[in-house]
Amino acid sequence: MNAINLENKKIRGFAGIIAKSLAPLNENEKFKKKFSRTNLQFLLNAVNVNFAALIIIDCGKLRVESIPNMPKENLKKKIVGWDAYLEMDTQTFLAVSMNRITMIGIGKKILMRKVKIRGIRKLIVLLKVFTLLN
Amino acid sequence: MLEKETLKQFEAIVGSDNVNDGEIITNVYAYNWCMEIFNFMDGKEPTPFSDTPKAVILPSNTEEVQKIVKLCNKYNIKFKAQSTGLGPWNQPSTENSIIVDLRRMNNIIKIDEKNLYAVIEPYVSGAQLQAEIMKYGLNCHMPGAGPQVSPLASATSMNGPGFTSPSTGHSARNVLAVEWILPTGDILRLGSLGLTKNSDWYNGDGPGPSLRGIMRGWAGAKSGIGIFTKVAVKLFPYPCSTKFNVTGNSPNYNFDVPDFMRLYIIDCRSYKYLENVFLRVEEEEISFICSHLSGFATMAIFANSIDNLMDKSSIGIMKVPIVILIAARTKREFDYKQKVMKMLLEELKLTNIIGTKYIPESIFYAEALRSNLGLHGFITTGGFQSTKGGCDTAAMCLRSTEINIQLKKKYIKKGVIANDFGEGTWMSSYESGHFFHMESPTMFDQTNKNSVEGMAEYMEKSNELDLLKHLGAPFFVEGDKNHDLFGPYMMNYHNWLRKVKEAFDPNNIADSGFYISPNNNELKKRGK
Amino acid sequence: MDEEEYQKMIKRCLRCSICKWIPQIQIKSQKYASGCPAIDIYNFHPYSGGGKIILALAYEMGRIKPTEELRDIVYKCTVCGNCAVACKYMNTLEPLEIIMKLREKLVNTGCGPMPQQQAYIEAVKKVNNPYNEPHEKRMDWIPDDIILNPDAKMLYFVGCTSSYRRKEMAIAAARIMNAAGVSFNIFQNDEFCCGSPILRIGDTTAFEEILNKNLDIIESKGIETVVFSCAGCYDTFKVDYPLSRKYDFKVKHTVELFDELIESGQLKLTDNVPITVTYHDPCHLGRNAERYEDWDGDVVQLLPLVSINVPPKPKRTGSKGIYDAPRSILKKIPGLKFVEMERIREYAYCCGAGAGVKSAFPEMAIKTAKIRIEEAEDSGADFLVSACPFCSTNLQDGITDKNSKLKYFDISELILMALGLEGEKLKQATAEVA
Repeated sequence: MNAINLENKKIRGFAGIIAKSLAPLNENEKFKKKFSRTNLQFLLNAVNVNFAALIIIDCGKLRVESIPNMPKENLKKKIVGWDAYLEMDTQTFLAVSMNRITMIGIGKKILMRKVKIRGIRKLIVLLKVFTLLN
Repeated sequence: MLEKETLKQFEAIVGSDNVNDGEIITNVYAYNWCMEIFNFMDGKEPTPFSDTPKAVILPSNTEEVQKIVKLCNKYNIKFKAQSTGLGPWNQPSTENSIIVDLRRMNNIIKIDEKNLYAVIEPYVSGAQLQAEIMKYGLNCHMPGAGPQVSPLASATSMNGPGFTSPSTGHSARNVLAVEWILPTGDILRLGSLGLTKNSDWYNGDGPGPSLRGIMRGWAGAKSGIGIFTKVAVKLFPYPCSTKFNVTGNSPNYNFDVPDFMRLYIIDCRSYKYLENVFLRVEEEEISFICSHLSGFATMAIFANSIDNLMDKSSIGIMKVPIVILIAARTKREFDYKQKVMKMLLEELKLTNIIGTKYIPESIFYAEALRSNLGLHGFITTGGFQSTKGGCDTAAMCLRSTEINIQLKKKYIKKGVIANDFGEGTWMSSYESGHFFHMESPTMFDQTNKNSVEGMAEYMEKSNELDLLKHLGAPFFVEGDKNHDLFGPYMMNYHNWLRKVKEAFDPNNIADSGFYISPNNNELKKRGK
Repeated sequence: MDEEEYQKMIKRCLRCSICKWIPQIQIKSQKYASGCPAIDIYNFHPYSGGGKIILALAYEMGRIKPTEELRDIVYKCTVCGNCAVACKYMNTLEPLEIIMKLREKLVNTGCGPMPQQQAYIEAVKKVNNPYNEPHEKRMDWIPDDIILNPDAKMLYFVGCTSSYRRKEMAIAAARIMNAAGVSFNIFQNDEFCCGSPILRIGDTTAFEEILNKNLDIIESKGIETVVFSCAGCYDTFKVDYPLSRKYDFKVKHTVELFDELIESGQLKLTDNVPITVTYHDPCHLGRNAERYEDWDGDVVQLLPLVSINVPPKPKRTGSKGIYDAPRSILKKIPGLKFVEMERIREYAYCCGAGAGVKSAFPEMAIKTAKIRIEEAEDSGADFLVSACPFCSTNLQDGITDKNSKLKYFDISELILMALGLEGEKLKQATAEVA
């Protein structure tokens, strides 16, 4: 399932929340400039709800697609084509977005397999994107 | 239901249309918000219904109230008075009770523009009072519960913090003269109203001893010491232009924000620093609103639904926000206040996010002026209640906040209360930093049994923590159980409170459920 | 509202009393702060929107039985919807829908409706109108000089009240459309009650039958637009019919049509109408005339106990009612001075007639009307104007009962005056207030 084929489809569930929160970036000149040559895809999966969010940064433009997260095979890299993957529950996503969890806290959750990260180097790019929201 | 003869006598006072002892009406009055929590605490089924009163009666004036109270004494039926009736403290503690609904007593008796007070009856709402006194360029204090509730009830009987407290104080501090129907049915007029010649409403204390402390203390007696039929409340200059133009359609109204209003939301980053900021800002005596809210709560006051609350993460990311609203009636005053704020921000090395990271909808300012912000607390889960409630120094309030976080997180982890990271707090300044109060609004789901039980347990643990860590008396130290718990740690005030109850209510007719019961032995000694 | 939602929602009332008032930030005076006629008149909490939610819960829990007292309280309500507007400013409860569902339950148990309401339901079934008037006389109001076009794609649905009781409104609407050269038809034998009086008292089964009958006829005749001068019929077709059965034709109230015709120049308002008027927003044209929007989003549990809707669920708060069109018309009438009352638009105070109150509790209807008339008097207007035959009847009854100096016109009558077609009426009206 190529993410590009999902264009123009409704953004569902958790992906809709992510899409709404990232929407201002498309009007943000800093974002457009800083990521004008970036082509990356990040998959954020909230395990306790439906529809993972595929964040696509395409030469200074950002869009979000929703991908059903069951069965879990839907989310595999070879199917979606993501560059980085982040999995946790919605509560943790909220804590991260509101800066209410420390690095140690995240570390603990990684050890307990409540947070999963793939492609950490690419994920750092996403963190830089998020800082522009603040 | 009442005995037929008893019902007839009540009907003779108010007319048959204004008293009802049928199961339909009385069952509705048995219901209230948070009743499920209090039921669970008492070992009962956590339903939102209290004991069902025998009847509900609607008097229209002081004389009728007096007669009702005397009749209650005659037939040994307890009375529970209420205005708009929000909250479990309006509920009877026994089936042998009658609810005195003061809805028909809804007059603004007097607005004294020169001496800055208004005399109101129980069912005048805050918004109604404000709408009338704005015509004189004046404002009133409204409790955090919202503009739809009764300032009289707040002033005489129940707590009274408010968002505009830096400038309008606390309800307990705004009471002047009072007309009070004692549980015996006698009328007591407090303050200057009690003068035999030239009585008036302007003073709550003289001549003679002031009884305001006895009447309500800090938290109020919630009908446990009689019924208040009129009160004079202090008025204040309206903070800005009284032009109040709301256009558009609900809920996304537009408001013509008056000239000379400005909002500041500042992240103080730590509770210690918040204390400095609070004291320093309030020292300058410029704020109309000055409150600390948690990140989530700050998001909530700008939202009108859970769906659009989550859009406001630029606010939620703040660790320790303080919300300051300045308002002025003239440009000169406004320029001065802005200069002071600029100086403070530079001195304290803080940044205002309003105008840069966040621009509120204009309707926020209307809600701030109308004290409608407290109702936003219900947005998240539909149910909330506060723990804590101590009134003290800023340091004490913040200590209470910090200590409560770990306790709250335990219950958040259990999934029985909503996750606000433990930070959920509302802390307000009073009379330009004269004192402070804090409470911990906690979101729960009143339709979920686990949530109700978890919330009840959390509230009880929070009370215990207040004792253990010496965090002062919380709001809801009410009822025998809590007074007997806290009293021994607080100079045995509960013994004195009981004596007050015994002196004012020898027949124990005013419902004591949220006040204190008399000592039955004492009453027996007096032949009661 | 389905049963599952109903059972969840009746447990959520906060007993905050917001439902008794107009939205708090719209309160401009003590006198006109209230929004609920039922509790204004009867005072006990159960009469309020929130009170009826608690009644619903107590009933479901078996704490109260279906008695006459319960029935009376539930039916002493015009289902005006103010409680819903006030509550939904911040909350997500649906007081109005809960009241309607509770009425449905009372009807199903045989406890409701009120006997007077049952009588008019029988009349609708028998003679297609609640007034028990002969069906054959339904179109007797049509003057000979009204031009109808049997092939027109626009249907004027007159409604029972205009046909039998407020003929001046029907005549005015038809004359205006003729003056504008609008081609329209009226179903002379095939117009039946829209079903609103039956729906509002909770007989949803009878309502379904009427709905299907009406839609079958309209659809069979290839009608593209249906125009209503009755707010009740308009609301029923626009909002309630699509909940059971979708249709393709457009629906419009005459105020919308007339405003368009004035704007486009098809209607030229040339004559002076030198009066001061205030406008009463009918509940069924205003806050209740907002369609339900389909929502097929997702409920996302963000945190334990906290879920959000993605995208946000539409909330009917009265914001999409018809408020601007009548005001636009009034402001375009030459010489007319328009003043507003305090309670307007989605927080307008009800006239007191709706949902069977006029027939079952006439004293409540009149008391409510008199409250509204006093508000109109306080606005400084000499004339009260509205756009609903039911409001017209009750408000005029109230004017008479109160011995008020206020005069009442339907908005279509004022348009006729401005078109120069009702000179005598205008002359008489201005003389009376001079």
